[in-house]
Amino acid sequence: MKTRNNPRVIDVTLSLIGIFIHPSFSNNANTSATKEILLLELEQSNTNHNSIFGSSLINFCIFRVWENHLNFVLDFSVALNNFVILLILLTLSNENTKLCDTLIMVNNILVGPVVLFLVALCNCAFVYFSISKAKDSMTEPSLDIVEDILLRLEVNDHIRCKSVCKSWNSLILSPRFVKSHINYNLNEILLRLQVKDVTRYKLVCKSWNSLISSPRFAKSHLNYNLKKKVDNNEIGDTRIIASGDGEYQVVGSSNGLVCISRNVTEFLVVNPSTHEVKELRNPPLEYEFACVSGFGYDSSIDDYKVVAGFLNESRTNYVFKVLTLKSNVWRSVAVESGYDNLDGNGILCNGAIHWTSFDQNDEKVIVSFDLSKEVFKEIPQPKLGPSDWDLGTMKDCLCIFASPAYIYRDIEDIGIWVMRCYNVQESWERKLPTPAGYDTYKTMMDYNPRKDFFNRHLRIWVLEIERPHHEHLHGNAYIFLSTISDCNYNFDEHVFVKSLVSPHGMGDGDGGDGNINDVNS
Amino acid sequence: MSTSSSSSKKIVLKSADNETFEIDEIVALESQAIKNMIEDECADNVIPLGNIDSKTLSKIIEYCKKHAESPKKDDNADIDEKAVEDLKSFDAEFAKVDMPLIQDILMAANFLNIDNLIGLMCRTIADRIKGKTPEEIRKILNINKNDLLSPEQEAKAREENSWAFD
Repeated sequence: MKTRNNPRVIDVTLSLIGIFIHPSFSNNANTSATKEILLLELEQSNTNHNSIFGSSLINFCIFRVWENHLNFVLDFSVALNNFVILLILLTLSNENTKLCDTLIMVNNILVGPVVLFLVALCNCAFVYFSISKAKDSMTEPSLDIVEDILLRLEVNDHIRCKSVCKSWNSLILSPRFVKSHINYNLNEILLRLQVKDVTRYKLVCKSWNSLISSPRFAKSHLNYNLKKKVDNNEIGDTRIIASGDGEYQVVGSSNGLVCISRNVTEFLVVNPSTHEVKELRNPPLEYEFACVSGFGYDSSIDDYKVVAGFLNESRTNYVFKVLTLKSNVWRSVAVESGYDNLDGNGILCNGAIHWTSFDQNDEKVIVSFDLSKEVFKEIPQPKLGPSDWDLGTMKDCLCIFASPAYIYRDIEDIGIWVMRCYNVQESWERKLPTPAGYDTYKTMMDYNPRKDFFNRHLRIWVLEIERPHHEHLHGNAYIFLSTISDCNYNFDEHVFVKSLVSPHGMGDGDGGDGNINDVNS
Repeated sequence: MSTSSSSSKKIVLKSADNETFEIDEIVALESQAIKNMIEDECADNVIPLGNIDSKTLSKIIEYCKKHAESPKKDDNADIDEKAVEDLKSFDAEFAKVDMPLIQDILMAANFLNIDNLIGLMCRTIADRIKGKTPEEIRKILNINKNDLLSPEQEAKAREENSWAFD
């Protein structure tokens, strides 16, 4: 946030709105005298912060508090053995300041001397914020804005608030805020539900609709479910494949989005869970052959990238192009891979795409393409004898499937080699030492032939894998899973998670304007 | 972690309907909000909870008691499975109440800042609305009528997400 760097520079007017004396205190004598003293002290505090913030406005206003709120505040003041409640309205004059920035600003100010003073003064200051666009007009604060601020305070700035006063956390929640609806916890409730349920619940009401449609929610829903899968050791239990006349391939799958290409000349990004499809621009076709591709999430820009390599005219090397999903524009990658013979669709792992290739000595090597840095690199591999193998992932780790199908293989090499620690040669570990029917680690439990996404023959299949199994299932030409290497090699099967992430809209916007999700598929 | 000397201390909570509950401090410490107040030495007297009625409060105390008695996860890496199971079944039983009370408990748990209880209530609500239609959810959760989508918006949303209604 830009304001975090220098909050004091921002023109902030701290307006003291009112002082409420608790009734029990009013019963005592000296009420007015005390009140005067307090006013005096507060005035001084205002003067102090005036110099700090360089602001010229001090507004004393009457502030109307809804009953609930006041009662709560007063009750709490009793609880804390305090007698004064201060309500402070921060009028932030910077009209362009976004809510987020405002929040940070408010927090920074709070840690400053003003609040320390207030805390010292009355131990229990209930500080109430609002934002007003106009400098000196005291508009009634919008409840939504306040609520939003409080929400964000609670979630993001918990620790910072605690540093001001430990009682703060409990005070920040007013009963109005907590009362009468479950919206406060809505996010936490809904992220426990499945994609289909949540999608249907867009119809429940406006606030549910805007929450569920927001990219923010899609992310938290995804993160929650990913964590659950990791905890339950279920990563990789759902896979995705595409089929249709051999034209279509799954380029890659990331966070519930699946990139599919037709002959590496046409690309789509699909969310099979929500049936959203985004057709990507075709890559420039000055090169005839496009045989290397990959898809994945680049956390550094919060966007997804499609990578495609085309053989150059002399067919000696690849020219790589990258498309970012938000822009839907192809551009060239600055560096060359330095390898030829990269094979097909890359495996996504640890923010990089991985292909196999051969080095000068004709040894098989793993080549990675870092999605953020856009550089190529060779990944160390286990020392296997002369052999052939395929790349894949297992529980988020890069792995090598060395299957016995290659008859010249050294028996000691057969199995699944897992790189426990990314890019660390020593961490390669042989996972399954060739048990009888080693090919059985997983199998297909269920598959959902989805509706056709195009009028062509493309079909996308989500496979859920349940328990070890030995044999080929069914005689189905499209779907039979036998060996792990077969799955990855022959069927371009990719690890998949169900998510609400939309191929159309991503980013940090909260989509909170109540609009209906604009699916244009 | 509270010291053993403070564990015998009593804390008095007062509900909105003026009923008082005396509980061990260790039980009260399940609430982060009360814990903060105690640490700030703001909790010498009765703590009034003006927005929590006695029915809700007694449920919450029941929960805190059970959880305060149970061994904490970080205390010991290998706590016995039985205690975990026991707590699980307690939670399951605890959540078998009607929806208004669940919502009251959730609000109060937010207010008192009891993380586990918030999680339990959210999970319970999620379980109860799982697989339901939007109409049923409106009824179950008593959704504010002013917040409903206009018929046009609803029709549009239904069309765009028709697959979810199969």
